[in-house]
Amino acid sequence: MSRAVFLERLPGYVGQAVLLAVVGWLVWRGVSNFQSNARALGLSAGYGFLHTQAGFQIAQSLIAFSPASSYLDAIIVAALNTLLVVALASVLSTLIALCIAFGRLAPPGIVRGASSIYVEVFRNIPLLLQILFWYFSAIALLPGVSESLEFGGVLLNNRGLFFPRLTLMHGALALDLPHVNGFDVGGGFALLPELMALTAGLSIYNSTFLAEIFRAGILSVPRGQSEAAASVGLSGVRAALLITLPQALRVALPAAGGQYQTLAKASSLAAAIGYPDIMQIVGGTVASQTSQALEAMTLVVLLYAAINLFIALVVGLANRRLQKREGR
Amino acid sequence: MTTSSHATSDSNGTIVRMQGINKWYGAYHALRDVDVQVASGERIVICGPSGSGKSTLVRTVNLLEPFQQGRLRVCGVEVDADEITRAARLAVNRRVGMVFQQFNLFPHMTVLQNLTVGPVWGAGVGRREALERAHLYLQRVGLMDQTHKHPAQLSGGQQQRVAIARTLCTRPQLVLFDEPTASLDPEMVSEVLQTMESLAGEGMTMMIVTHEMGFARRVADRMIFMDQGQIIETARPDDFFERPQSPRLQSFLGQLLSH
Amino acid sequence: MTTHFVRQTPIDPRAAPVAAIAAPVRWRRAWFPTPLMSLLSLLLLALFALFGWRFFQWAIVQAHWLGTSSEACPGDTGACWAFVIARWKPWLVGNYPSSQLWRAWTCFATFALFWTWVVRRSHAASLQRVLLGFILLPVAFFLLLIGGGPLPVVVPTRWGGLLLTLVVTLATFATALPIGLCLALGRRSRLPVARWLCGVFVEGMRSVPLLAVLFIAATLLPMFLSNGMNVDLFSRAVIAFALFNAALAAEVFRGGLQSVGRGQLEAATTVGLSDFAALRLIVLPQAVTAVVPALVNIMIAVIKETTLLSVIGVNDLLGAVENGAKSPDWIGESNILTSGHVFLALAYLTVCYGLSRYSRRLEVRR
Repeated sequence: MSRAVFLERLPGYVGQAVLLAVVGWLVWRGVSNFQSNARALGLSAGYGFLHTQAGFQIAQSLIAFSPASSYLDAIIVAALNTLLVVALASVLSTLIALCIAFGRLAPPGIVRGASSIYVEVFRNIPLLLQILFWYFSAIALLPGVSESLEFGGVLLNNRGLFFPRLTLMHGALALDLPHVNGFDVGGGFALLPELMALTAGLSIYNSTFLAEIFRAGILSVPRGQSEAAASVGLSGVRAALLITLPQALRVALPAAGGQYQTLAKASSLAAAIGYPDIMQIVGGTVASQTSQALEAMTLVVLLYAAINLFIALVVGLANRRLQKREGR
Repeated sequence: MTTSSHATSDSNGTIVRMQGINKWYGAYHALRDVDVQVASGERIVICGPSGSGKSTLVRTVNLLEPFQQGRLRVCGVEVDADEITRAARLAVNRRVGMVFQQFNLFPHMTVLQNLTVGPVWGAGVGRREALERAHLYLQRVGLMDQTHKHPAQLSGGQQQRVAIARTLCTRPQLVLFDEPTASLDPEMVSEVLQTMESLAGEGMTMMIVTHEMGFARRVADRMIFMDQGQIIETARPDDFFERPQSPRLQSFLGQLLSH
Repeated sequence: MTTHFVRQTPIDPRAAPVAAIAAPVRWRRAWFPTPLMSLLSLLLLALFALFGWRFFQWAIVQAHWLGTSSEACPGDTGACWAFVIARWKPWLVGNYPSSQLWRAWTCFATFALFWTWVVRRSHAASLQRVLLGFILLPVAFFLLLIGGGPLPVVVPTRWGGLLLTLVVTLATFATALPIGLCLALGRRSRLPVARWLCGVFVEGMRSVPLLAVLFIAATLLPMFLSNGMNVDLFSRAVIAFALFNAALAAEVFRGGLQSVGRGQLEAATTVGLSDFAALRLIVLPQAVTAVVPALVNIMIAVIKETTLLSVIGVNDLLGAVENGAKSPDWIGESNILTSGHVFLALAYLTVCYGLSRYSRRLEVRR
């Protein structure tokens, strides 16, 4: 490197060194402050607490859980609950979004107007407000335990939606049916009203954004494609399914993937209504009970980042397969 | 006006009859009092300056463009000026094929799938027969070894030839060509024109919009010159090129031959 | 047999015919084009009628309009607008001392005037002036509302309601945009350290929920500060909002910078501009102008995000309603809280919808 070039690049090198030094100093000060504050408050550090007894019950768990289970189990239950609500809301919002997208592409009329109103109304009301509304109205409208609605083995009341659960009893598979037990419901597997409210709010709110993404994808398919489809005798639904939708999907997939990631992050609002997901259990209960907020919040951040990464990988895989299908 | 979906050509062999067709794009009068009759086996070439309405004319034949006044009868299907029903559109498109300037092949399907999707899913042809037709017409356009390629992997000339094969697989009575070589590099134009010439040699009824005058002279039974939405002159190729009578056609031909 | 046809008289253009279809037929075709559409339309109309009627009953006919406590709204039917009307002061300004309310009204009025000036797009409202205004306003509001010096101090914990929402939104917008721009430029930098640091920050922020960042700001951040420093909850929340939305703004700006074609930079070089001058004079103006609609969308998102403040205990508009429904005067029937929610929904809907219409108008203008 000649002297002239080196002199030109020098400010860059110096600047980077300074930047690194400043960031490094901030990090060092922050860490040392944290350590001295933690010592002053008598807090423990490290993840040893994961194997100690949790000491609290979780209202909905997909695996067996009791107050005697460890904190690690609690975190697993919380993660499963998050994945449950994300999966339910993703499927539901996709279905709704497809209907709304087609509604908005219909010829001008009541169907199109209603779809547009749906999108504008539910997109502009904050998600938290929608969830709170579902939670308080849903609870208010559902009947009490003694007047539970029943169909099949399923019970519905203001304590939740109760399904029969397969259990092992006396060495044989048996169906554990939910039944009214005084003021409570015993047996069965409970879907909490918090889950229902959260799923409803998330699905409706995200369906507005997904509908716009799907609509943009469909509109991006060139007009010549539908004309060519017509000219070989395909029309209407057949042309849409065979020609337009596959191409629209390829365009919409990356943006839709981003929206599913947003949905996964938005599920953290569960903490506002007490649904036992990652934010509520790990970021709330675990953090406050162990007083180890740093470790707990680190876990929260890592878990959500992992979920986001997983969604990104799935979408990336699907995208690659779609592109291969077009011979690119 | 009613629509009948089972008739084909008229008893006297007229495939297309347009009478007094007028079309407006909003306030712009795009087609003015157009009268055209195309008999079975005829090859019509339509030419004219850009904006003259040539593409609009052929796109009106297969109902891609609606018209506001006049009468249209395509392959025995009467079409209403007011409202083009879905039944009419389906009936016409199962008898009329189109080759587009932009090819419009389906990018997410292989060449073979492009050829079979119309017959199988549109006309209800059995899979085996659709495949037979596909192989037959791919051979005719000389692309037998490209069946499993995607359009993106083919050259422009190859794509347009696939598009021609795709139209032929639907066994149309009439094929419309909307400037089929206008988007091609010069060296690929001739391969497509050769394919179209061999098609004409087999007696296919064709309406072609093109600027390729040498090709037109060899292939056309009748030349139509359009300008400002109206038909200015119609003649046999010899008369058209050697004895043009309207001043606008004379100046148009003069410009064409000067470069 | 082909005859040689030559047109002798050209056809002049004529006016398009008015559709001779009878009005009822046209009406049917417009509103009920196909059987499926007709069925759906009728279904939707029926649903609208049903819910519209029930809502009208609840919101107007059976509603209670006046009163100062839950006794004004007995029973479970009918909206409790008395709740909304009686507590107008906490909705608007939270706990702000009554004697100093003129400062809050000044802020509201100033913002209303500023926004009218922006939307009217008068000649004086160039993009730079608007952005400058958006940065100066929150600073001015903050100083005015906090006080100090001749004005009595009003700590941020006493701010609440719409005032708090407005200040947080503006402050977030004012800080997130410049930081986001720096981050976006940093990611395009040739210096690997800058690129790496900015990239890690933006990608990290984008993969965690905003609520997690708020929780961290609320519970963890004090632990990283040295003993003397005491940053109150409000400021910490604003910092969290600013950093989170800076990452979002960085992505928006990155798109804008990429949309300025390479040819622009090449042309700038050939007329002798330095890298920095080219950036300042050629690239940035085009990049920022290109993403203004997206920036308005960020503002809409921030307004909706301010509702999360209620979860960590900051008294924003949603928090004010929630607290109001739990206050001793009003605790009781569920329709009180529901009325508050409906009122809030209408309020946010109006503001956010208005802004999104504005954003779309900006996009069309391009």
